[in-house]
Amino acid sequence: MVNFECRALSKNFGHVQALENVDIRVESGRVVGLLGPNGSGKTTLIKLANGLLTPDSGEVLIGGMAPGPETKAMVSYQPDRPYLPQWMKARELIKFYEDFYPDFDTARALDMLSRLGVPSDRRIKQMSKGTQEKVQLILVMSRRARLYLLDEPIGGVDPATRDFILDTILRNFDENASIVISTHLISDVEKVLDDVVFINNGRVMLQSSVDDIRERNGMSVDALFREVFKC
Amino acid sequence: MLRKLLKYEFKATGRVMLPVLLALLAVSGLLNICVRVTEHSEGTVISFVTGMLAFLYVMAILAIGVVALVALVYRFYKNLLSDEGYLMFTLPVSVHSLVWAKLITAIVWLIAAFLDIVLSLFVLAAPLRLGWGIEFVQFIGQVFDELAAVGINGLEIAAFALELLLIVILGIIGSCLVFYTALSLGHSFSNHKMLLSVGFYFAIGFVTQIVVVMLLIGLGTTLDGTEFNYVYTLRSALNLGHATLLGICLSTLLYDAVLYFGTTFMLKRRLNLP
Repeated sequence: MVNFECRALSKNFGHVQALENVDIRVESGRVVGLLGPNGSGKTTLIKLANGLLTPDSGEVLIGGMAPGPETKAMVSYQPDRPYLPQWMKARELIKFYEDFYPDFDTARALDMLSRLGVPSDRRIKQMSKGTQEKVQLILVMSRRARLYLLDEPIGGVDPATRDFILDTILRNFDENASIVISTHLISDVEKVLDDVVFINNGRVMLQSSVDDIRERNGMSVDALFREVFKC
Repeated sequence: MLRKLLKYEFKATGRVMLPVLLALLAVSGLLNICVRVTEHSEGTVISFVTGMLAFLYVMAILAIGVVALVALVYRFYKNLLSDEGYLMFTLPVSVHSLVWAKLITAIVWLIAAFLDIVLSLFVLAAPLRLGWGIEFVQFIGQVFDELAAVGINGLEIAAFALELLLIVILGIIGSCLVFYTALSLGHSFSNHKMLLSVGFYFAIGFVTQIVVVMLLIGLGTTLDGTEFNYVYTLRSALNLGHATLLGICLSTLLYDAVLYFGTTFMLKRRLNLP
């Protein structure tokens, strides 16, 4: 089953070609790394998949459908920036997610909140940047979604939390779901990835399984990335 | 889903609006007490305080208008077009629900602000004598009786009141939608989003004025050419009144519809979050 697909997808911002003729297929059960240097088009691709941008040509399909309210119910999205209303408390946000997403697992969210030591009755505004990011990840990972789109999800948290989150992702991973993680912290996520997509200047440079890379190139994804994107 | 959106919308806006609305009532209550005290004593401090409260009361009424407007326009920007837009536009709800949630809360708060000001006048006048209420009802009854005597019945008055109310509500919706359209147009660009939004706000006002003037000139010249055999009776005058009010209703509705379509189109197709 294909959970996420881009067909000849292109997007411009004025004269800047952010994505050019991108074809990507993400099957269920796969954890895919969307890897590329800054400004390569990772965020644009993920925003298109969430219906936050409209493609100029080509199409994006989530479970076979163009982005809309139905696909948004299937996608759990972590933007690359703080997006939670600053006045709300962690507890209120859990209620908010529970209200809007039928697939939200409140018990899991509360459990993660206490494990990561996030005070549930504190406002987002009063939390440190790292704690805010923890709350975002808890909310996003507590959904039983079909497709997780995580844009730079682990940039701001400490390594221990990072491990905990990656463990949680793997432990709760459903056979029918897929995860797309955009990042440039490759060594940290490499162990959880099944496939990788290398993207640069809006074009897909390489699409392969991690096993193939190790067999064919005889190197880790991190090493290959450094070679491909050598400055 | 609209119900859930409204629940959070009222929670978010209520944080700002409720304290302001309550503050006005508190000021009018205090003012009422101070005026009473000054009636019985001649202290300079108390008359100074009374003067200050009277000033505060007027300022509070102005503040309600400003806060309501700023809160509702800012809310649209903050919740949909800044970083929070990433949360709101990825909820499994339609753009229409998002815009309606904003519109309905805005209308409700503006009406609440109006009622709050009326209520504060009652608080100022408290304690109210029952006699006043009876006199008022009698007065209204008298007005109705006199109107009925010349042939304008209650149904007619109700119809006029309804038409006027409709114009007010459609007008409020329109004034909110101008802000929404301007903001969603301005924020579809990558740079100078706010500056462009302000520009679009004035541009929409300018275009609206031109269109209205053109339509009025058009209407005037058409009517000028036609011959009227208008017999002045009460009935025909009332009908003309209804026709005019309904005409205003319809054109306001059309204006609102154009702006609503503009806002939802921009948010659906040209959304460009920072």
